[in-house]
Amino acid sequence: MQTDVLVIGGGAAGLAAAIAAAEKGANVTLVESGTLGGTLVRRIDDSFGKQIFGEVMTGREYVRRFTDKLSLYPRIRVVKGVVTALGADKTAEIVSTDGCRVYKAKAVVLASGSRERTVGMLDVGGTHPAGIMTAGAALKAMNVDGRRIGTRAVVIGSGESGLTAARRLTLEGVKVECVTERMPYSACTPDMKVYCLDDYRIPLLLSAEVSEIRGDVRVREVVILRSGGEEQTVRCDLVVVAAGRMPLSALYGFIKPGAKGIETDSHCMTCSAGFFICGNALHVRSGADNVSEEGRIAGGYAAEYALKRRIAEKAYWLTPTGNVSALWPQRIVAGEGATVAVRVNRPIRSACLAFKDGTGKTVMRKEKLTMIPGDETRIYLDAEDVTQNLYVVAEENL
Amino acid sequence: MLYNVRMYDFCIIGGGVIGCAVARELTRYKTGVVVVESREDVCTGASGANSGIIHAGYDPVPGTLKAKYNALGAKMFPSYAAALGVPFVRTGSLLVAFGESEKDMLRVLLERGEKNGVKNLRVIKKEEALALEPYVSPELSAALYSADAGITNPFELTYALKENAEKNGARFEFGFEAVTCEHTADAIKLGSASGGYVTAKNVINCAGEGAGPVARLLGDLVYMKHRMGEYVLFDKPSAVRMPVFGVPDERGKGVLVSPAVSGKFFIGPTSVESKRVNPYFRRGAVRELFSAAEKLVPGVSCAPRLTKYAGMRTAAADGDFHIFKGGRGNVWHIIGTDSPGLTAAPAIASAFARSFGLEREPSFDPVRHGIVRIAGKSAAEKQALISCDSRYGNIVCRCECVSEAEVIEAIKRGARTVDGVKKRLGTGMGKCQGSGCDDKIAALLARELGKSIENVDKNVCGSGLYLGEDA
Ligand SMILES: Cc1cc2nc3c(=O)[nH]c(=O)nc-3n(C[C@H](O)[C@H](O)[C@H](O)COP(=O)(O)OP(=O)(O)OC[C@H]3O[C@@H](n4cnc5c(N)ncnc54)[C@H](O)[C@@H]3O)c2cc1C
Repeated sequence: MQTDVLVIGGGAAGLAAAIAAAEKGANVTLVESGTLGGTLVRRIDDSFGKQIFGEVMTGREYVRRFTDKLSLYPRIRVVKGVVTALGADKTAEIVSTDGCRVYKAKAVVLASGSRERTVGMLDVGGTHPAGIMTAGAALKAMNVDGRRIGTRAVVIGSGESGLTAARRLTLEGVKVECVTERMPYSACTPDMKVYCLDDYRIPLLLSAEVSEIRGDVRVREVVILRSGGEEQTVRCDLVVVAAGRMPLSALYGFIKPGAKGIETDSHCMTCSAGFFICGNALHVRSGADNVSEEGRIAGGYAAEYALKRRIAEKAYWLTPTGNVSALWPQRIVAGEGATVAVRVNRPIRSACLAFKDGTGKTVMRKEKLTMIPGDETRIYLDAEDVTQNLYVVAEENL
Repeated sequence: MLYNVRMYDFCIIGGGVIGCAVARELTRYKTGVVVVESREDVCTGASGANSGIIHAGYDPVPGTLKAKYNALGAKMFPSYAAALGVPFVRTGSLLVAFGESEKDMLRVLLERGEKNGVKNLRVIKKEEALALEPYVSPELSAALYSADAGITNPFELTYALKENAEKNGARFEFGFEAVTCEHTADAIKLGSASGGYVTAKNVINCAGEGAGPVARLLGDLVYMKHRMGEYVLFDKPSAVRMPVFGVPDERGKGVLVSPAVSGKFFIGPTSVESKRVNPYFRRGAVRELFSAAEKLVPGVSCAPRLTKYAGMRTAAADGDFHIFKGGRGNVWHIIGTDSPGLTAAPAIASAFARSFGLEREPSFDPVRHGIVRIAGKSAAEKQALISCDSRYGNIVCRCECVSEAEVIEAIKRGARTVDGVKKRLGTGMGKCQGSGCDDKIAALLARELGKSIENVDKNVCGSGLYLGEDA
């Protein structure tokens, strides 16, 4: 089967990509194995849509906005199935209850999202009984399937998903004993901490790690190791792991990653021509709005590529240095502006981003008040801002 | 619960690989066999958490039972596995030496191997070792290459033995923890913790980690030691083609780097004396494993990590296998079956069953077919499977590409828990470690077994994924 653009994954990124590609006139095949909306359908808290739709709404409502629009485009074919193989020649094997079909695409948008880090990847000792779940699985069990998963919980990780889970658990009648954070600072914004933890008097333990899980059948208690080496035992029957996510990259092993994962240009195209990538499949983000925005870019340019309208030729590199741990995109297409997402490796209170040329001379500064590791900072660069390769560093204004 | 419906000829205590292999071998003869297992399924003890290596047999000291059954088991293994539809890959294995003193150890092991009757065993030079295994440390001085060694899927081996034993008439009783024992004139009556009982003319202790207490129950005193082995599992592709060992020390074979038949690979096991029988993982063990494995295969710890797990070895004081008749009545013990028990299982079981001189059962069928898998098939083959049964097209575990049809078949073959499905099919063993499919597996178990999802356990009774309304 032939298609102009194949979009793999129907979450916040893939939905936006499919619509953007169809708007440009391409025939689109959108493959999703579960429910359209992906992990967003688990979210029943009002944290979405402000940026894109100018109003706050739940994850489900946010998805509805896209799926309603989807039906307006006869060019988009939605396939409920799983991509079991993807070739560098843009063929994809798709398995569904209707059979196993091979699709040939002119451009591919990878929007397959991320997976959560699980307890087995952390340096937590002890047994592995029932009652250990990732935050995503916990949210799905409570919000989608209406299940009871515990009575007393400890949440590992103070990022957005840990906090969201802690709040949701509390509203479901589970007593959240504490949220533990390995670092000396919280990975989320102060507002989020108030909204999810302080309002419910959930303690946040900083510089604290769950070092051991005990229990043979079900979780009985955990040991929490504090920064001074002091240990504390907390009784609970549920451990929720919210220790970060990683892009799901099994399908596109043939795309050569850079030092920090897959790199793209400001059209979301990878170093393999015709393969575009967006959303959490590229790098893990908090808000869905940014993910959809990136999906829109990827879908639009994938359509242009498929329809042979425009292919970016020249791009300048942006390289993270110093406190800047990563940034996207790494290449800015010459003569165009782009929004750049920057991550730092420690909180910087009064920050400013400096852009330096190859000789170390600062050619431009962008002010930004606070930057925290848990949240990306987004800045817009004009076409005139980027006329050469640049190095990016976060400076503290003392 | 089981009442005294009939008298069995043999009652095997323990559904590990040894108990299942013995049960299957006994069904070759005209005899009635029951296996009682305290847990909810077979393969929950050491048989479900080990290295899965079919050792050629150069390691055990000549003259020991370990030496005899290891070498014999390894020779039997390829055809044994083929009949049972169990994967066996003859990868070969490499034991690497560093420096001159370790090089001498290779000679010692080579001689042991020759004495044990191991074929195709050679001490090779550094260059040849590096050609066989490109990522092994270039610091090595020489290596022992054992071409006959291989790897298997230990879960599938145990399940296959159970399925085949069942097919040939053996019965399995789960949730039967033998805690009482009554010797009568011509039989032994075993009582379980939950009140059931089983009567048999002969009782065989294959209780693995429980071998000590079970021996006492049956009237014999044995002393067993527990040593835990921790592992770290990495995603595919494997960094090595074959198991890579260092030179063994007094604690055993040491940490190794090995591919699994799934294409993933692992490092381990550690060796930690343990008082408790349930395996657990120590905080910090990951670092210990990394530093040991890095010596063998530099850079290995940078590979994408999936998870960690642990298994418990239960060994006799002298470290050998012990197979003997107990002091009271028709009681037998097959104990101290730590490594290489998996390799030795076919040889131990067949010699043991033969020793009773029973009459052959002509209808015995040694063949078992594995579950037909969709992963790894071509597009046309996948299409054919799905057009026969559309449930093959419903992929429930995306990471390992496992469909609803396979899960249903695993349940038909005896999976009762999420872990039972996982060990039979590899669901939840991939990148997401079950966070994306445990709920779907639980829902299928509930549907197929006709129970509420709150009553579906992760493994042991009471380990439900979800709580009931009253909890
Ligand atoms: C870390 C490690 C690595 C290993 N690596 C290898 C290897 O690479 N190659 C190899 O050949 N071998 C290896 N082995 C050895 C191999 O795993 C064992 O020899 C084998 O699994 C032992 O099987 P088993 O049936 O004796 O014990 P188990 O699998 O432990 O089975 C015993 C069963 O008895 C049941 N039971 C206990 N008490 C009772 C009771 N009172 N009533 C009813 N049931 C009871 C238990 O629940 C259990 O299911 C390894 C072992 C370990 C621990």
